[in-house]
Amino acid sequence: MNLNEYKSTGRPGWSKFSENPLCQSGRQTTSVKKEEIMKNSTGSALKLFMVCAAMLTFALMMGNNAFAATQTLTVNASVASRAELTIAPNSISFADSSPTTSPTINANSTVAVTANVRTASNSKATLVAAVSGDLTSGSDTIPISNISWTASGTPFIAGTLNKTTAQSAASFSNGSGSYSGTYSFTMVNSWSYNTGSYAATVTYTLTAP
Amino acid sequence: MKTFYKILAGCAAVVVPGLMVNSATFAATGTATLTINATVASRAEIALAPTTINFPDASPTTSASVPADNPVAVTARVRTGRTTAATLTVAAPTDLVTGSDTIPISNVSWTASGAPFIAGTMNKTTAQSAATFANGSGLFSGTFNFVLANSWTYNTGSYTATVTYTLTAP
Amino acid sequence: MVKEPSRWVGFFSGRVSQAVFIAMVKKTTIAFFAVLVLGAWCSPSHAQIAFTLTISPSSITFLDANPTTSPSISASSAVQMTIVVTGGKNTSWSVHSLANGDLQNSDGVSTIPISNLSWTSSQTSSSCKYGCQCLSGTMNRSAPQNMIIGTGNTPGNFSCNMTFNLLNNWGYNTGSYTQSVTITATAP
Repeated sequence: MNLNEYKSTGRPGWSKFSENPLCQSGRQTTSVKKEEIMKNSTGSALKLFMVCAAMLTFALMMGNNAFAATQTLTVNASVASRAELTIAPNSISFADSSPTTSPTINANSTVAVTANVRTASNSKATLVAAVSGDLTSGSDTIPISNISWTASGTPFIAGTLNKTTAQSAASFSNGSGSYSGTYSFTMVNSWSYNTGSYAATVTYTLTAP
Repeated sequence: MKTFYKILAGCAAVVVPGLMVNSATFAATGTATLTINATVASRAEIALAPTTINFPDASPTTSASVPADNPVAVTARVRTGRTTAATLTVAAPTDLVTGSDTIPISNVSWTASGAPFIAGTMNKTTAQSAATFANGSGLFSGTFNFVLANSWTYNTGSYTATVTYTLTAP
Repeated sequence: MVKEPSRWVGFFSGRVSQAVFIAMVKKTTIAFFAVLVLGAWCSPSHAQIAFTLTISPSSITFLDANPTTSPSISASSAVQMTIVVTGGKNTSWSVHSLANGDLQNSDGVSTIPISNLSWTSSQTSSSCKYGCQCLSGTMNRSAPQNMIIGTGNTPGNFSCNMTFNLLNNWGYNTGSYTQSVTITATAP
């Protein structure tokens, strides 16, 4: 239908339509009307766009996580085999006494022993006591096998000195560790000992495979 | 370029084995020394058992000498040097006495069994050797058997004397 | 023919002049950027924060030493940690470390607790306007540990010199141990 026909219908929206200066008929006002229509339409569209853009921008900004930066630090450590043995004191003495009343003689001091070992998780350290000869005083000797010891503190063990074979002085478990204990030495006393000052040197060797 | 690669290969031939050797695993050891000293001094111990002996009465006609009622076990313990010898002596400074009567101590003698103990006769003037030790220390056991020469000249009475054994370890 | 009247009839049914079209574009563009600027100004500032994090070296080594004479071992080299923060405005941020486990032995069994590893840190660059700190600490495999904290942008590079130390112990089995530590810069 044409404009006048629609005007006569009185359909809803007509009043607004008719009041709209852009709806006035007339060729001379067409371009102006069109411009105004476009301006009004553009403004509405623009407003809508601004709202949408604002919402989108806020949404994007609110929804964005903060940036994060990452680096990796590699830590390496080397642990090598190591064995450290200390005994204190490093000299003990057996005083003279009557074999009748003292069939054995205790040393004047116990010996504190500390063994620090580093070895593999499936390896055992060893500690041995070796002596090359008997107690000697000039030409006189006292059998070194007359000296024995007891031990306290794991993994240290008792034994008797032997000039032929090094004797085990500890029984370690696998792996590394730091161990402390005590050795108490005794000497068999005998009337057969000639007088003199006897001495012997015992070498303890701690080995960490 | 060929020269460069040759040089590189040569260096690798030297460096790689060297690195392999340096990377070998060695055991670690720690040692400590313990010095043991022992002092042995001169020492002498003597033991007699019993410490009293008796000579019973007997007819001098049938018993020219009277043995003591018990032998005496002797143990000598000595510590001395390897070049020195212990000594064991017995001193009898008085005769057998009862009141004012005496029996000469020289009428008492003994025999010995077990080295190094030796026989002898009491002497109130000079201590008598009761053993002959070899050089060095040791523990020695033996027996002394005492006898008293009998005589019709002995007046009646209970006679006694004390003798002293001395063991010396130089 | 006249179509059903609507609000849009003038806009969609007619041709638009070039001048009007240009004006439309201009207005649209201005509006768009105005919204952007407004949004940037109004929205929380962390939306634009960025980090540049560098560490050098990225690998450190602790050489074998006698625990009796060296109860603590220093790493073969210090680590220089540098952070650049931009777009931070007054946002709090941090650089933290998280170990990926204990130090693991190549034997597949033995470990060294990562908590035996610690560090001391000292600033080696200019201070931040709102405050940055180099922090010392102890490594942890469960809880991230802060190494650097700050607020706002850095004045260019903000650097800390970090010295790592490993407790030495006779109980360590022999072998080569390794572990990686993830260091992350993040806000907040």
